[in-house]
Amino acid sequence: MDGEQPVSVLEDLLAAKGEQLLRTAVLLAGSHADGEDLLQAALERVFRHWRTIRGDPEGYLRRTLYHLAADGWRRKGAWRARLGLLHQPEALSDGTGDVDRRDHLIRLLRALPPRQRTAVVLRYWEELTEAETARAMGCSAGTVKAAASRGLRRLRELSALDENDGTPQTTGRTG
Amino acid sequence: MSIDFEERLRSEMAAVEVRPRPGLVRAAYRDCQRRWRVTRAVAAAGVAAVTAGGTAAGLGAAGGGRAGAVPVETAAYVVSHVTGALSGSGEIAYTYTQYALDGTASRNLDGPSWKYGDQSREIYLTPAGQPDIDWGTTQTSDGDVQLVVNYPARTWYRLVARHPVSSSAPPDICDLSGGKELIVPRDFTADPQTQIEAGLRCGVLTLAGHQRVGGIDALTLVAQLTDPQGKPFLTLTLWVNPSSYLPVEAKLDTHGHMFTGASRQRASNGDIVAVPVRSVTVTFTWLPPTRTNLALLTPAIPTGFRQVTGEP
Repeated sequence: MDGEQPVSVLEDLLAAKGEQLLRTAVLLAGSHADGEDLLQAALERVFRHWRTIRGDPEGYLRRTLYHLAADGWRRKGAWRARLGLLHQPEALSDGTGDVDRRDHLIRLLRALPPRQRTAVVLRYWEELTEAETARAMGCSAGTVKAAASRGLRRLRELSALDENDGTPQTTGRTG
Repeated sequence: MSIDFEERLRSEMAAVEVRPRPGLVRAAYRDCQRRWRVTRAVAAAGVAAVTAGGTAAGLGAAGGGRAGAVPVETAAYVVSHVTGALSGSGEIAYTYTQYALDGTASRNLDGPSWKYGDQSREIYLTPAGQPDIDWGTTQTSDGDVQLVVNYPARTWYRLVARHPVSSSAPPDICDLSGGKELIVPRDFTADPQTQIEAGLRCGVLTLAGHQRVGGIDALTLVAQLTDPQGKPFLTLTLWVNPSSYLPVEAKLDTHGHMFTGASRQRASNGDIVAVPVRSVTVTFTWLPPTRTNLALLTPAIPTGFRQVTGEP
């Protein structure tokens, strides 16, 4: 692999679209720290495949982000932990790395299974069509439709539960 | 209410504050370099273990069953290296596919194919060995750009398939269980590399020692799938070059199960070929991406062929 060229191309890409890409990664992963890790894992994969990437590296990077998120990239990266290569962002996590607590729904996204979360983020944030989401996730459009629908329904349920549980009046209400 | 909820979700998504950490790209690059070094070291250790394991297993040259498979830990080393070689070879995969058919086929499915990055090309031959269909595909962000040359009709067309042709993803080797009716051989040979990568990823391919194939002492990986009654359903044998870890040959044995051999794309084109397949053999050659070799990825349109409108 020619080291400098992909490094500079990707550094330029991140300088221009880093926030946009990281926001997607954070939404897919559920927290700022995990989002950074996910983006870094996707970048690493882009480096590995650099010689075979044809066309726009941003498209490849995005597709990789989606694939990793849908496949539960954390589980797949377990071998890196065994080899002592895994970064330990958790060591820095004192809660400030989490998505802002005021972002109620975003916090609840973490409760969804990876494929549901990915379907929701790709459909409602990235605004991909069902067919595009299906291709990005490597599944059928029907699966995407079901996953996004279930994910959204689950989010709505969790939101209602969370808001009720979190309201002091709920427990104090006597009728 | 639903729209409100979706709007609220979108607005919260837009409000998430992010700041990319400086040096993220460099850190990813360092990880990539480190991963390669570790993979190579692990694989080197694996080769020694495999050699010892394969010898101890004492596998014969025929068959390719799982009997005598070396320990899983050892296989994992090889699997990781084959996966790395497939993803990082940077070479054009040239394959030649041969079908062993059940009965007489009016159309041959044998033929060469090339794959490199997002580009691929398949040529189907007539029983007489002449080109029948020449099919080139380039995956882009807009969809699959297809260039198809139909030799019997002396026509060609180009189209962009913006949506997946089928409503579901093609089955891969990891999905094969329970005697499903699948178009396995066609799906397999359309992209054997992806199927092999899937088999390595999900762990159905296990190491089974060495066999002499194509003049080399190849590492042998076997996926043996059984039906719900435990009878052999499908066997994939993959022979790998022990130096490069790239595939040399792959064989798919259907154990007499009747798989059809047509792709859905061809069906929509009126060229359905439903031929029972007993086995499929794919030989691999890895070509450097020179200008001449890259040109092989694009179908050539013979003089006098007429352009027609392709299927949407």
